[in-house]
Amino acid sequence: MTRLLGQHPAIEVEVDDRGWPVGLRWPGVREPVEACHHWRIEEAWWHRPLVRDYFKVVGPRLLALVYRDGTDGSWHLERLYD
Amino acid sequence: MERSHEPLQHALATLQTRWGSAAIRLGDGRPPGSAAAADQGAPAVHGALALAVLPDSHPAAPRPVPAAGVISTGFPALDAILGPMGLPAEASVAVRGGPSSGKTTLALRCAAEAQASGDIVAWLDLARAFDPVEAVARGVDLRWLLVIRPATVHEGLSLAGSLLTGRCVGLLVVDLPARLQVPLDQQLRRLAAHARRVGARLVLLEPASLARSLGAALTSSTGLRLELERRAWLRLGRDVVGQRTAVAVAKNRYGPPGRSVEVDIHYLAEGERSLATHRLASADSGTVAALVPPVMLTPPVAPPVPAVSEQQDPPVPARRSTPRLVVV
Amino acid sequence: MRLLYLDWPHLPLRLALGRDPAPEEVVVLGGRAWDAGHVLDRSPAAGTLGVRRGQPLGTAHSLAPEATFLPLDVAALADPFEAALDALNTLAPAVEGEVDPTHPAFGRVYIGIEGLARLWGDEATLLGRALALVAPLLPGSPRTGIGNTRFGAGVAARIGATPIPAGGRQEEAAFLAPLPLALLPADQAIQQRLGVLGLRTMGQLAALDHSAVVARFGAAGAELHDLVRGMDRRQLRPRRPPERLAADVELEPPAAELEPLRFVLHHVCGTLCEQLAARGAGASRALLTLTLDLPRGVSGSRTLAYRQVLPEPSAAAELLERLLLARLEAAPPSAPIERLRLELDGTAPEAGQQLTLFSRQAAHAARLEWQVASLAIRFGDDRILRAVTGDTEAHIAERRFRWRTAVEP
Repeated sequence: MTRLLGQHPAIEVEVDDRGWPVGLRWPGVREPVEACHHWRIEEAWWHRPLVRDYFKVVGPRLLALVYRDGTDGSWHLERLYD
Repeated sequence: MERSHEPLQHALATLQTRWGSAAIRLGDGRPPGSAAAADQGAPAVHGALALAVLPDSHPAAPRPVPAAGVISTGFPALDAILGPMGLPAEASVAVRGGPSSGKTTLALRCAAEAQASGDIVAWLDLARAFDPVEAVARGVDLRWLLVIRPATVHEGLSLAGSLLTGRCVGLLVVDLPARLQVPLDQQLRRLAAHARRVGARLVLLEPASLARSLGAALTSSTGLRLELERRAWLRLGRDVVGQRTAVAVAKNRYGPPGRSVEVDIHYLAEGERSLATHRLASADSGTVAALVPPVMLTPPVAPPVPAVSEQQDPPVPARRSTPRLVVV
Repeated sequence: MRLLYLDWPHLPLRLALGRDPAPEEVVVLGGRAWDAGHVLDRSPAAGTLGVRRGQPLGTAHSLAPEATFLPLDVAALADPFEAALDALNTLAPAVEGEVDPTHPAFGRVYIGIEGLARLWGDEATLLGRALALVAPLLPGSPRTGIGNTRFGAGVAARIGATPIPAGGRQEEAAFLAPLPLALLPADQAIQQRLGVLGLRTMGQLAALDHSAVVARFGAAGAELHDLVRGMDRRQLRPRRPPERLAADVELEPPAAELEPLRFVLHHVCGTLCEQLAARGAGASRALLTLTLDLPRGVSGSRTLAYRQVLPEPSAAAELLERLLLARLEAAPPSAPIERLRLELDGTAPEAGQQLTLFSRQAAHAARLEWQVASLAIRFGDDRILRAVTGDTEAHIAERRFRWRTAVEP
C-alpha cells in the first residue's frame, strides 16, 4: 500500500550526473537513495502541458515515489510505500 | 504422440521423488497425472507463466477460519499468532511502525476484512495520505467507507467519537500524522474507551516518529499492540516490488503476547492501480466488485537510458487522447 | 385560450451568476472542467466557441479552455424559480412552469390570463404586475409575449411584438403570416425542404392545402401546418403547487433557553410528521423560522431561518427533530424567541427502509446517512467524505478519483 500525499510536497533532491536522484533531504535529515524504477509521463492536458519524470527511490528507511516537474524542474514527493 | 511424453513423465517422476508429490502442478493447479487432465482437454493456461510461482504472501500457512465476531487481519500468519485468529469484536489495536513499515497495508486489509463481515468502516485521515484507488485494490468497498478529513486533530478525534456513538461504524482507523503539535494522550484514551463501550473496533496507526509518551498512553488504552519493522525489500530485477516485515506482538489482551512473525507485502504495479480504478467504476455501476485483487507480476525494468530530456512530443490537443508513458 | 408567456433565456446561468453574463464573458455552467458531468448552460460568448448544452464538460473545456466553469447546485437554481412560480400563482391560478433546472423548459412560464381582467385590470397592467412580482426573485428581465396559443405567445416573445389581438385562429394566423419560417420549431432538414419549395413566410405555408403538406412532410408537417394556421392544440398544463405543511407556535413568554424550544419543536415535528405519515408522504426539506423578541432600540433581523435538506423523504419526527436541534445548537439564536414556524415541503412518497444494495451494511445505511447529516451540521459539510471514480484512464493519481462530501445524495 502506498500513502498518497495530498499536495505533493516539494522536496530537495540530490542528483547524479544523469539527473537521477541519489539523496532526499528534509530540514536536518538526509536520506541516501537509489532509483529502482523510472518512467515519464507527458500530456498536453487541456493545453497545460504536464511533464513528470517519476522515480521510485529506495533508501535505508523508506521506499518512495518522487517526480521532477519537467515544466519548472522542481522535485515533489508523491507517495510513500507503507 | 504417447512416445513423445515419455521423457517428460520420467523427468516429472524424478522431481516428485526428490521434492514431493505436491512440488509440481499443471497450469490449472492440478498435479500431473490426475485423471481430469485427460477428460477436460488442455488446461486454460499455457506457456512459462503457467508454471511460474506467483508471488503469494503465505504459501505455507493455510487460511485459518476465525471464530464468530473475529475478523482476520488479512495476514493469515499474523492471525495465527494473535490467539483468537484475528481481531475480536471491540478490539483496539495500536500499530507502530516507521515509514515503509507496512502499517497502512495492514490497516487497509483489516478494513477490507471488516467490510466483508458486514461492517461500515470510517478512516480518520489525520495524515492526509489516504488513496481510495489503492484501498479498492486492497479489497475495500468505497460504498461503505467514510473518510474523515478534519481541520484539526482535535476536531477529527471528537468527530470520530461522535460518529462511533451512532453505532453504525464497526471499525475506525485513526491514521496519526508523523508529528503532533499538541499532546493527545487523554483524547486518544477517551476515544479507545468509547470505542470499546459502543462495540466498535479501533485501529490506531502510530508513526515511529511520535513521542514515546504517546506510545505509552496508547499501549495502556489499547488491547493489542503490534510493532512493525521492515526486514528486507522484495525485488524483481532492480525494482522493489514488496517488502518483508516483522510484526511483533508487544501487548496482547486477547492472547499470548511476545510472539512475532514475518509477513510479505506486495505493492501494486501501475497496471494494477488502473485495474483497481476500473473496478471502482464497475462498483459504481452496480456490478459486483471482486474483493481480492488478482496477483500480477511487475514487469522487469528496462536497462536505463539517460536520454530523458531529449524526448520531444507534439502537443496533444484533445482531452481523451492517450498520454504518453515512456519507460526509460 | 389567452396566454401570457415569460421566458428567461439562459436562466440557469443567470441564476448561478446572480446577473446577466456580460457579452464577452466565457462562462460554462455544469461543473468543474474535470468533472464527469455535462454542460447545462453557457454564456453567448462560450456558444460562439462551440460550447453547447449537453456536451461533456471535458469537450467544453477543450473548446473554450479560458472559460470559467461554474459548479452546478440544482437546489440553488430550482428554489428561486419555484418561488417565482409561487408568486405568479398569486396572480393567476393556472401557471405552467418546469422547476427542474436540467429540463429544457426551465425558465419558461405560461400563464392563463383569460377572464382575469376584472380582477387585475387589462393585459398591460397584468403584465406589469407579473413582472413586478418576479423582479426581486429572478435576475434580469424576461422576454414577454401574449397570444391565443402557446406557439403564438412564444413567437410574440421572441420577436418582441405587441400582444396578438385577442380572438381565435384567424387573429393568430394573421399575426404569424408575415413572419419567417425560421421561427417554426422544425428541424434543419424540414426547414431546408421548405426553402427548396420556395416557402419563406408562415403565411405561404398556411395557404397550402393541409393534405398536400401532410403528403410531403408527414405528421411533423401536419403539426407545423396547424401551428401556422393558429391551431396549436397543446393545452396549458397548470402546475400543482407543492403541498406544504406548516405549523406556527407563539411562545408566551418568549423562550430564552434552548430547553423550552426543544419541547415545542418536539411537539411540532410530531404533529406535522403524523400528518405526513397518514398520507404515506415524507418531507424532503424543512424550514424552521424563528422570530426573535428583540429589545426596543436594537436593530438587526427579527427572523432567523434554518434550512435543512433531509437525506431522504421522511416522516420520522424524531430524526427531523434531532437534525433541527443540531442546527439550532450549531447557531443558537441571539435573543429570546417569541414565535416558531416549521414548514415541511417537497412532500414526496416516503423512502422507507429500502434495502436496494445487497449487502449487510445496507441495514445501517439509512441511519448512517442521518448521522452523517447531523455531524455535517456540527462540523461542516466538507469534513466527512466519500471517494468516487474520476478519470479512470488518468496517469496522474489524483485524477483517478475525487472526493465528495458524504451528505451529497
